[in-house]
Amino acid sequence: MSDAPEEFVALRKLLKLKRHEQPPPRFFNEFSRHVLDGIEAEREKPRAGSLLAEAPWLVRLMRRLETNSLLAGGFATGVCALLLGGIVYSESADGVVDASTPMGDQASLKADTIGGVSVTPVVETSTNAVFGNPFNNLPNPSLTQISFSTSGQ
Amino acid sequence: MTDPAPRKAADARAGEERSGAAPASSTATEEMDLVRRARGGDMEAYDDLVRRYQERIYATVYHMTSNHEDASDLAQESFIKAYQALKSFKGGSSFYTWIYRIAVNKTINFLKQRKNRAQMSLNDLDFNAEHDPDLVALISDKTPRRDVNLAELQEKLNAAMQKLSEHHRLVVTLHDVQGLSHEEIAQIMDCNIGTVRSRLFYARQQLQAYLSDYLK
Repeated sequence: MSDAPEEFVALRKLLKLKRHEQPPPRFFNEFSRHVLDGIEAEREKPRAGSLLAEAPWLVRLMRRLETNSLLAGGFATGVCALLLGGIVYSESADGVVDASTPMGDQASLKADTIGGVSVTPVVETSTNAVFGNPFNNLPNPSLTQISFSTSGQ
Repeated sequence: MTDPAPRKAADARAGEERSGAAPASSTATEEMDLVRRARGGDMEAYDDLVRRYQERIYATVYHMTSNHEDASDLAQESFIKAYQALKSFKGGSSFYTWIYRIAVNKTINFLKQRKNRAQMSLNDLDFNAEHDPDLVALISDKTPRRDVNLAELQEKLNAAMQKLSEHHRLVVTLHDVQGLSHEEIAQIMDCNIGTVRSRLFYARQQLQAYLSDYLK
């Protein structure tokens, strides 16, 4: 192992060629201004940046996802599975609510009415409150009867 | 290993050849003053620091990536990151070594992510290249590949450089292209001088093999 001047003479001469590679003219005139602009832009970045700074594990996770495509694929699959699971759970939860309040059970509903107006607060018991069920706008007879019983008028 | 005397001479010569030498003690004091002021929010002082090292940092990143756009972005990001980390700069090494380390680490990370997507975007050769006797000799009638011109040679050289590992390419860039000494490279790469020498030797051997057609 040696790096004596007499060795690799031709190669070192050839490598001199790289010293002649120059960026476009006036490139360095603007360089420091771009750096200072970049520093200013970093300062004005929204709070998302500070959230990342406060949660270094999140930064590490994102970096690993960027570099490891297998991990990124697994993560994406997991998120999709969670989303689908949430939707399925939400749908099945709707079914449970409907079953517990049969349409014919008017007696229990009447017990909660004063002067024909329901005093039972309208509470959404399903996970729709969280997930925002897109089917909320569709007619649902069981929920209609619970909320606005006007019997006797 | 060879006699250290010619090695020292080579290092000294390399130091003279480089675009700018490492800061001497007087300028080191001045540099520390600039760092102190920049740390206190004086952007003019930081602008001064950027102007001092922008060419060398850009050149290092450019020779590592063989791509002007990537080099421009990485060099800028390195200076931005350095500014943000200025408070953690204790002054144990010179600002010059510190900013080099930031740029080198950033570039190596970038190259690891970029793997297999390498695309060269080479800078033009300056006017002096055509008049450099060493380079003219390489493309003269006496060489086996006399049909090649400087631009083609430049492309072959960069392609060969890209075949080296990041660490080997870095050592060749810092020593043979930029003219830094083994000691400076060891500081920047955070390794010992022996490692620098062995990496340099291996990298040159590899390059010589890749470019054998153009070196006869």
